[in-house]
Amino acid sequence: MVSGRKMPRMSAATGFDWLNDREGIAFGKELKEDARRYYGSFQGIGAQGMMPPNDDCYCDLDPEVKDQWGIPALRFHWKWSDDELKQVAHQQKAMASILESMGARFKRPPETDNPLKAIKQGGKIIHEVGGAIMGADSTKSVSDRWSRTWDVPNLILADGAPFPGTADKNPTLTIFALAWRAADHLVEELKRGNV
Amino acid sequence: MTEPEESPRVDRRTALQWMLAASASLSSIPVQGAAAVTAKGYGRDPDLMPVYKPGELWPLTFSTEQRNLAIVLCDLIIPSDEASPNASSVGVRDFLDEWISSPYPQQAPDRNLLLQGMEKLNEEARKKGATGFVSLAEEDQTALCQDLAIHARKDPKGTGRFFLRLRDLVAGGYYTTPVGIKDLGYRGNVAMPSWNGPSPEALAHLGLEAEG
Repeated sequence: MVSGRKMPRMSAATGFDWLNDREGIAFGKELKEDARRYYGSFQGIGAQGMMPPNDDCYCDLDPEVKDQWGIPALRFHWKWSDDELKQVAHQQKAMASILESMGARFKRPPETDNPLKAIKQGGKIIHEVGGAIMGADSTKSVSDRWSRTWDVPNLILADGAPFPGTADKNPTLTIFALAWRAADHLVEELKRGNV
Repeated sequence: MTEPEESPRVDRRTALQWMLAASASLSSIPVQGAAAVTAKGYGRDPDLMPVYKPGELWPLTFSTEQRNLAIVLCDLIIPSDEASPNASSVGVRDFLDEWISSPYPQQAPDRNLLLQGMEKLNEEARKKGATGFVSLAEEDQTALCQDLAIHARKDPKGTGRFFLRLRDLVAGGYYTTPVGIKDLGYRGNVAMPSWNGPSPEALAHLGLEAEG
C-alpha cells in the first residue's frame, strides 16, 4: 500500500479487493474500474513520541563480559514504561480520528487497546538522542553547557548525546547549533590559552 | 453436412473440483520449458542507456503455445475499453515471460507457479475436448477465471494462489507502462515556469482574499 498518488509501482492496482463485497478478486472490467477508483486513495500516518528516562533504563558494568583489554563491558538494561504505551494508544486514537474524519476505511484497525502491537521495536526508529545529558550540576549530568563532559575535560560531545530527551522535531538542526556553539567556545578557550 | 464442433464447455462444478485438488497436485505437473534458470543478472551497474528488447537481458521461457496462452490471460485480466487498450497490446505478455525467466530470487517462486498454473488450465480444457485453453469459447474462459477468482479470494495461499499472482503480475506490468500510468491518472511533478500563489477560487474556498 502506498500513500497518495505516487508514481505507480507493481502494487499500484492490486490490494483493492477488500474494499468490495465481490465473491472473487477483481479481474477484467472490474479490475480496471477498481484501479481507477482506488489508486492514490490510500493514506497512512505514523507518529513519534518522547521516552522520558525511567528506572528500568540504565547501564551498569557487566559482571562477566570483558573487552579485549580486560575492562568490564557496559551492560544495558532497557524497558518500555507505561508512559510510552499510553502515548502510543493516544497516538493511534488521534491518527484514527483524523483519518475517520476524512472518510477513511481502515485496512488495519488502530491499536488503541493494545499499544504493544503498534509500537515499533526499541532502536528501530531514527533520531535517537540522549545518553550524556547536559546540565548545570556535575552530580546530576554528564556534560556541561558547552557540551563538554564533566569528567573528561578534553571530550566534547558534538552529536545528540547531550539531549535530555527527544525534542519536538527532527534533532539535526539543534545538534548543529549545539556543535557550533561548542566549537565557538573551544576557539575562545584556545585563544585564552585554556586548552 | 457436419455441424461445426461447439467449443467444449467447462461447467462450474468441474472447475471448482479441479481447483480444490490443484493445490496438492500442482507441483507434480511436468512443465514444458521449466528448466532451471542459469542466466546471470544484469549486475550492480547495468548500462541504463539502451532500450533492452525482451530476451536481451536473459533468455525467455515461453513456447509459442505458452505465449499465446499468456496473451489470452493478459487480455482476460485487463481487457480494452473506451479509455485504454488491453494488456497484451502494451507488452505485458513479454513482461510475464521476462519476469518468470529472471535469475533473481524475488521472481523465482513465480516461475513454476505460473507455468504450472497455465499448464493446468490447458489440461482442464483438454479434458473437455479442446486442444487447449486458448481454443475454449470466451464465455468458458471467463467462467473458469471467475471460479479461479473466487478461490483467489477465499484461499489466496492455497487453491487461489496461481490466479491471484497472475492477476497481480498482469496488473503490475500494465499499470507501470506509460499507457497504464495515464489510465490511473498519475500526474507527478509538473515543471512550471512561474507560480502565482493559490488561485482566487482556492482562496475563496478557505474564506480568504488575495493580498495586494
